[in-house]
Amino acid sequence: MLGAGEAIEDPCSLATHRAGRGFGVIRERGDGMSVIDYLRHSEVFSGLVPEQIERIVALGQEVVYNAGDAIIREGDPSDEMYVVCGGMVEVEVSRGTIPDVPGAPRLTPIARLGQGQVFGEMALVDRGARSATVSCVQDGTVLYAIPRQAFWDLCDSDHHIGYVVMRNIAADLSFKLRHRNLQMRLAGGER
Amino acid sequence: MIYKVSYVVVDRPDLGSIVNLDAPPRVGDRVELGDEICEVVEVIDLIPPREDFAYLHVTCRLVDEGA
Repeated sequence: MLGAGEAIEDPCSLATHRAGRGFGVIRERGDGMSVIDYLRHSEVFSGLVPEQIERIVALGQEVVYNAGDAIIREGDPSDEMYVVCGGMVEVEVSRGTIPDVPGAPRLTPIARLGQGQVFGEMALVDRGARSATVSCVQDGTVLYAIPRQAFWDLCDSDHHIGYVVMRNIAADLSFKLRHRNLQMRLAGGER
Repeated sequence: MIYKVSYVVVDRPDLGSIVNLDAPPRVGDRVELGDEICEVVEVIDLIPPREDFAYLHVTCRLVDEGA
């Protein structure tokens, strides 16, 4: 029996599942793509050669979620960045809570992220608390989780990997900001 | 080329999505965002392409399947 949050790793498929999140059976991936293939299709690792991506893959683990699973929660401490290898997640932010009034904060969806996208990268960069809640919206969503400290250690030891990934994370954050700006403009009827 | 696409839906900010595609979306395409079917009404280059990636912004509207 596994405890909550404990991981089991499948050496054949690299698929790792966390217990206590609504699944306990290791599944094989059907598309034949390796984790390295997935990460090569993510902008954050664009510009790295396969050997460099392998070093990043060696730091993390693959996790699978089902619809409704909360992956990270706003305000929680952070220590991992996630890459969406397949499936879809939804990013939500709270609209604030009233002091002394019990109950969960009301969450507003702001974006959905599909294959190749990353989340949790802000905490990777600034070490702050999670800025949003991210939940899985599609059964069998496959993520690759990269721990912050191990990643920083790799960047310290190989500045080229660090430069390329940090440049790409900056570009990804810029893209998300542009997406959000256009969304706000459309909501405001300015088009 | 990998197409990194920002989707926004008129009057439905909750359906906005970012996904990577193997082929660029085109005006008139229908796409499923969340549980809704949407039609692409505009595709623009959001920023210049870099390395293997092109960056597109797509505006959609909900499809009224009863119409």
